[in-house]
Amino acid sequence: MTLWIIIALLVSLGSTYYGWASLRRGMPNKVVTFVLGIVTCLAITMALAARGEVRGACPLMDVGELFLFIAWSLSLFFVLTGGTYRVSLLGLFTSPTIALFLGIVLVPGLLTENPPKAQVLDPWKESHAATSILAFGGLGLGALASLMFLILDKRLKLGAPDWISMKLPPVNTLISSVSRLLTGGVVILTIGIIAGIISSLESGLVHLVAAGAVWVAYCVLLIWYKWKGMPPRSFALWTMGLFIISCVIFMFI
Amino acid sequence: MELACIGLNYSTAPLELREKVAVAKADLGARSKALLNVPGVQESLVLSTCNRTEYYMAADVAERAIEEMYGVFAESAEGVLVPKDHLYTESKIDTVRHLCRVCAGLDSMVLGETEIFGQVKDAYRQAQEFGVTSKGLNKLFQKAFSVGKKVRTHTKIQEGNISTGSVAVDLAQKIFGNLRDTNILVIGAGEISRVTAQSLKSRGANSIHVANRSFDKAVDLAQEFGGTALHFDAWEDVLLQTDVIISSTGAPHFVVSPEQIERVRKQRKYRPLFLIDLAVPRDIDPACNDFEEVYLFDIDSLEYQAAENRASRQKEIERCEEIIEEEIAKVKFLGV
Repeated sequence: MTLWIIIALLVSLGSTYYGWASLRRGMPNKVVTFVLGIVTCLAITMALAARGEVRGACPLMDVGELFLFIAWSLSLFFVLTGGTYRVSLLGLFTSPTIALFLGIVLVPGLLTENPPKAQVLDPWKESHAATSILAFGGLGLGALASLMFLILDKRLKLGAPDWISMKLPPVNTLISSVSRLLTGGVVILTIGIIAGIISSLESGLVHLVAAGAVWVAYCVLLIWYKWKGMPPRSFALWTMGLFIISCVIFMFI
Repeated sequence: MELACIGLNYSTAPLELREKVAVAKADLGARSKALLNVPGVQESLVLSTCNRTEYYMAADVAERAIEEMYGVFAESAEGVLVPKDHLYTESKIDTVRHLCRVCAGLDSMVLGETEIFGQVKDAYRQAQEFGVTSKGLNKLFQKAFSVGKKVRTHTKIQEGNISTGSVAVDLAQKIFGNLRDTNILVIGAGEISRVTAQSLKSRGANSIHVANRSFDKAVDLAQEFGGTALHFDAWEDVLLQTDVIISSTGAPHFVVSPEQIERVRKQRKYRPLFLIDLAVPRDIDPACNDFEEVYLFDIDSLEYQAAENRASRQKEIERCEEIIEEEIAKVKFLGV
């Protein structure tokens, strides 16, 4: 399993270098970016499969597995949605984030060595955990697209767009991508929460309440944006803020 | 046989002289054929644009053909003698180098401009149709086309627009992406507004409203773009559906204020609004830029951006020259 993580880490680092170096010369090749994205995603999938085999359950039981799963969902969302017009540049931000998460996974002690095999399986609980983390891939990618928007917005507001901002996707494209990614993330999160309620998590009630609160917050943000409208910068800041707050919450409960 | 070239361009001759020696686009082939009457010239091609007129030849002896061509240039200038110091000549490998630079846009008035590439292709096509090119010039031009293409794809020589109007259009695309759904409001029907609006329209802008103190002028400009004319005090009525405002009135005070934008923000659902202020003194209150969804560019910031792009192109010249040298070293040309 460690070998797959190292492969994924090296490919995502290579993808980061390739993307930024190409941007200096022109634009990164879309096909190369996606091939690297797919290879990263496959390598993490193999790592997760190996870990799941050892656990005999969905590998979401320690901090290392949590980061591995988030890296996987980020890479999966990127492969599925990054192909839209010029949003492939999202890879410039996704690849280093995935590399960072994989680097964290490799920190000694974060992945429990020789973890015990699960004796009892609750499929609803497993589904809740897996879909919730998968949803965070979409929400995380939305936060990265928001970051791209904020970089572009800052330069445009200053009246002096630099070479990097001129290569980023247009304001409207970025903001509609954020909206689509959040919608996708919230839909998957809804499934996760329903699975959590069905599994009646007695020991994880606090966790479920926290997940519900995150879900409500994202729903309010999306409904407000679509129904009442919201300045793009506020929308991007809320998206990033909610993602960071949610991550912090789930790290401590 | 040897390759040679003689010509004049914007940097060596004034417009009055350039227009006298210029050859009409439709006459390029015939003019190229006429050059074959010059003793020693075996192949010929005339390139003529608003910025340059050049004769390319494959001749028995390059220097002798060039001497003969001085007289031909004088004949073409409606009896006006073209002073030698307005002309430049190239021979042998320098002819190859020169044409490659021309195709790459390195010899153009607007560095890196793309139009010249098509103009050279057109001149070559016409010369071929008249059967005045053969082994020597064919090889020269085909190589120059491939080098020109390589320079443009492997460097940033044509990146970023260098006129304020085009920079404004680039910025509009940076905000809205495709301009197909964008609605433009032009306040003040001056020339600079017209040029900028025309650029936006040519890139697909959906509709154009024109407001001007003189309603007749607004009607004239609106008709030019198939748009709608408005009385000057009625422009706020279309603010709700407007995405881009181009303003260049002669007003001594602000014409667009934050209060006017504030009134429609909510109804617009905070959609991005791009304000282009081309007036001096300024038409748009800088405080409008404080709204999150508003992007305001005045004439200085547009000119700054254009200057940045020009500087960026200048930096690429060295790399372009390297590519040209690498490429011409790969091929053996006639008489070189």
